[in-house]
Amino acid sequence: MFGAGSAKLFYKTKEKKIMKKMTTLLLTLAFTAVGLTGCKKGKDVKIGILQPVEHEALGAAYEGFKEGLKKQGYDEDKVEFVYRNGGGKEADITSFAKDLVSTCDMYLGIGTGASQALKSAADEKGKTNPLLFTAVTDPVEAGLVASLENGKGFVTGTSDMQPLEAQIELIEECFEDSEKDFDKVGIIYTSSEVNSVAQADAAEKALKAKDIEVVRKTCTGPSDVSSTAMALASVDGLDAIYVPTDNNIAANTDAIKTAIRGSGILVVTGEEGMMKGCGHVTLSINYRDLGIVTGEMAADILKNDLIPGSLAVKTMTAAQCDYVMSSKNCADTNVTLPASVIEKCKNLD
Amino acid sequence: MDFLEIVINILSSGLPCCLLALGIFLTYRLLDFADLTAEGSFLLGAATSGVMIYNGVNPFIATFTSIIVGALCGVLTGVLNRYLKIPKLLSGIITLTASASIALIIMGTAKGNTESIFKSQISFGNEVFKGSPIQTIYSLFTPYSYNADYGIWQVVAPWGELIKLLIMFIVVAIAMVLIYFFFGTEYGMAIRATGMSEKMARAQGINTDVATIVCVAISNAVIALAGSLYVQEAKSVSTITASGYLVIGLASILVGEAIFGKRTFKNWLISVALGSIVYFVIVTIAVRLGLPTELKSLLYAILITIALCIPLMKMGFKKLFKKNKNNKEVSKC
Repeated sequence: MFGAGSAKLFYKTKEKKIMKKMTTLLLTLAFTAVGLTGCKKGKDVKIGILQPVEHEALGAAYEGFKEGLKKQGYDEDKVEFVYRNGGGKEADITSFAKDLVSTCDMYLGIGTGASQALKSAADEKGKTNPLLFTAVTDPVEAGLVASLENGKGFVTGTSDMQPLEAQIELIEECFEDSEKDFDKVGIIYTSSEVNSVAQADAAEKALKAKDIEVVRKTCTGPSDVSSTAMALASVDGLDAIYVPTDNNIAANTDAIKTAIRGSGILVVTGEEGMMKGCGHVTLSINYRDLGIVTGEMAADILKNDLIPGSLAVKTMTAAQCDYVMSSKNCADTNVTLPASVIEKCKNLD
Repeated sequence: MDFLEIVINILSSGLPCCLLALGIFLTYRLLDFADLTAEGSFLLGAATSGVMIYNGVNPFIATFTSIIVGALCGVLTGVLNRYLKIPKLLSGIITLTASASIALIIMGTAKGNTESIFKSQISFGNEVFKGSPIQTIYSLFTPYSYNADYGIWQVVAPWGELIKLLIMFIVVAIAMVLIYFFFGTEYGMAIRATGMSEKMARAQGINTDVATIVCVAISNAVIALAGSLYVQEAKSVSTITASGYLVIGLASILVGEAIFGKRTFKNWLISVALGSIVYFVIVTIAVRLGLPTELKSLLYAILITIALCIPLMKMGFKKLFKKNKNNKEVSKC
C-alpha cells in the first residue's frame, strides 16, 4: 500500500509520535462530545428517529410523524428530534440504534430493519422507553410485537400493510360497466419475497371467493420478470393482472409494461410507486398519513403516560388510502378506465 | 456514565468487526488475495447462526456450525481459483453471488416455515429470555428479571451489556491468539511464504494450491464467526445484513496499519483489530457532535485519506522540495 521503503522507515522513527497525537486528538474529540451532549436544552422529550436509507416513502413517513405530534401540541419547542440516517449500511444502522437508545427518551424506527435494530438495542440495554415503528409490513414476523393486538411490551406502531381487499374490489369496479366478461385475473410476484407470497395468497383467496379464476406466475429474480410477464400476458382470456408489493418487480416494472402493451389487460399494483411504473390504477397507502397516525400514537403515549403495549398496532383502512391512476400508462397500453373510477382517482401524470 | 455508554456502544459494534477485519487481513495482506467472499461468508455465518438459534439449537453449536459454513465458502473460492483457474476477484464474486441464494435456503429451514423452502428474514428478538429454549451465547450468561408492568423479561441494566462485551472480547482474543500461533507454525509460515512469492514457495516444496485454499478457508471461517457474533447481538438477520461490511473491513486494515503500525506480526494483528474500532469511534463521535448522518461516509473517506497520507505527505514534501531544487538547477544549466 505504502510502496516506498522510505515510508516504512519513517514509521519506525515517527510512529510513536503519530500514535500519541492521534490518541490525544481522539480523546479530546470524545470528551468534547460528552460535554456537548451533557447539557440538555430544557425540552420536554427527546425522540430519536432512525431511518435506514434515503427513500421517498420513508422520508414522507418521518415528516408525517412530526406533523402528527405537532397536531397534538408537541411541536419543536417541546420535542427535540434526533434524526439518524443509516445510509443503507447495516453496520451504521446498528451503531446508530445503540447510540439513540442510550441518549433518547422515545424512539421511532422507520422500516423493518431500523425498528428491529432499535428493539434489539433497547433489549440489550434493558430499557423500556417507548419504541414506535412505522412502515413495517409484518411487525409480528419481524419480532417487534407478539401480536397485532399487542398487550405487552414497550413497542407499538403502524403497519404499512396495503388494503388488499379494497384493491381487489377496485379491479372488479373497473369491469362493472364493461361488456367484457370479467372472470380471469393473473397474479405475478417473486417467489423469494415473503411479503409478496403472503399477499398473493390473500389476493387469490379473495378472488376465488368472488368466483374469479386465478392464474399465478412467479419469477425468481430480476432476470426472469420479463419472460414471466410475457407468459402471463399471453394466457387466453386474461382480463386483469394484480401485482402485490414486490421489491424485485418494483425495480423491473418496465418488463411488465412491455409485456401487456396493446393487449388491453388492466394492471392493478400493490402500491403507488409500482403503479407509476407499470400499472393503471390502484388504492395505495399514503406514507405521510401513516406517519401522522404514528405521531398521534406517540403523542397519546406522552400525554397519558401509557404503556406502548396497551396500544394495538394500527393499519390503514381503505378509507384512509388514496386512489391513484396513471393516464400515461393507460394511453400507452390501450386501457380505458370507467368514468366512475377516474373521477375518484388522483392522476399522477 | 454517558461516556461509559459511548464506549460500550462503540465496542459492541466494533468487536464483531474486529474479526471481520482480521479475516479480510488474512487473505488481503498475508496471501495477497483480494477476496470478495467476505460479505458472502459474513451473511452465511449470520444466517446459519440465526436459523439454528431460532430453531432452539445450543448457541455454541450454532456458532461452531457458522465457522464451518464460512470455511466451506472459503474452500469453494479457493478451489474455483486454484483448480478451475478462475481469477481471484472473480472466484470471490462467484461465491458472493451464490451466497445470496444459499442464505435464503438456509433461512428457509427455520421452524414453522412450511409454505416455501426460502425465507428472507429471521428475527428472534421477542423469544430470548430466561428459561426460553431460544438463547444466544450472550443471553446464556446474562441476568434477566421479569418486568410486570410491561409483561416482558428484561435484561438487568448494566450487566447485560458488560457481560456481552466480555464474551465478545474473549471470542475475539481466542481467535487472535489462535491466528497468531497458527501463522507461527511451520505450515502457517508456508502460507505466508506463498503470499510473498508463490514461485519461491513452490520451489521450497510447498503445495501452494493447498496453502492458498487453507488460508482462504481460515479467513472466511473467521469472517463467518464475526457474522455469528453480530446476529446473536442484533437478534435478526435478513438478506441485506452484510451490506457495507466489506468496505469497513478493508478500511479497518488500512487505517489500523497507518495509526498503530505493522512492525511485527503481533503488532500487525492488533493494529488491524483496533482499526475496525476506530471506524465506530469516528462515526459515533462525529454524529454526536451534530454532523448530519448523510455526510458520515464523506467524513470517513476524508479521514481515511488523511490517516493514510500523513507519513507519505511528510516524506513527499521533503522529496518534492529536493526535486524542485534539482529541477531548477537542471533548468539553469
